[in-house]
Amino acid sequence: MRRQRRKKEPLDIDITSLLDILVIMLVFLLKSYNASDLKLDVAKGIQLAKSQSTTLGHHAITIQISQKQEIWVNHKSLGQDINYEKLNHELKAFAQTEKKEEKKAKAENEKMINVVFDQELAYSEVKNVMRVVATNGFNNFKFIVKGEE
Amino acid sequence: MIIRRKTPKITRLNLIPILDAIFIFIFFLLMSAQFLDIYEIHANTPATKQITEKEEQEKKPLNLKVLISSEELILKTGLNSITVATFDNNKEGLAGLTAKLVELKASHPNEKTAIIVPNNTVKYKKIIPVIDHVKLNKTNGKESELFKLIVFESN
Repeated sequence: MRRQRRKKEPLDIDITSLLDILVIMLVFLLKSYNASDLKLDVAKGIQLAKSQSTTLGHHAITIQISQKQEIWVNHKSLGQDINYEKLNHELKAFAQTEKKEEKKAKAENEKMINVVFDQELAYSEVKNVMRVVATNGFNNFKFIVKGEE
Repeated sequence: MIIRRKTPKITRLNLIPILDAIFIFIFFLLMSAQFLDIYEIHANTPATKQITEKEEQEKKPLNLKVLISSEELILKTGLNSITVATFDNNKEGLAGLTAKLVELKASHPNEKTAIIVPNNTVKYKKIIPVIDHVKLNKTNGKESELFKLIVFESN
């Protein structure tokens, strides 16, 4: 006797629970959506100051200074104790490459720089860094701050 | 005779296209997600301008200065930097500063610049709230622009 095989029905996976998770993920991701072109990895040990500002950041050269006075220019560490000579040298190099590349027809005094200071830094250090930065033609300061919850 | 009822087949929605769209959405949103709320405050280094006597007589600039120390905030105006008001450097003091700045803005609607003069020992976290209050008036849930151009002056 020949046994008749049953026709296999297509396997039906229940994706409702998966869809639920995806929708929840979508809500959270939409909440954290950021239209800014500034992608910043805040250096270790830096606590950003809180601000009411809601202006989104822009891509530019970024200087970061921690409470222990360690300094970074575009994620490149320049060592501790705010070495102003190294900072000056680094910024000069950036200013020259910008000139060579002529990326944007910006006026010299419109050069933008993002500055990330630790909230505990004294103004004397902030002022000295600003002075070095400004002497290299970067007059347009953007203080990077943390939004208030 | 018993008539057997056919059980109606449950028609399932085809969720696959929606799932596809959501997956693509998630990919793009993950790429642009920033879990730390980062914003910027714009400021400039001081630019100097010599004012002639004639210009001085024609229109007296506000020349608004906010001196910041750890304990107090001093508001000065005019070319001779006359002290207008003094506030404690705390929440109440900042509210008082905003109220005074609203008055000054009303009398000088075209002025947009404020000069920030922090003391060397003042911590950065004490400067930022002052800048916030100088730039924007956020009272009673309403926002109004005050002095949006911030210039730093060293003392």
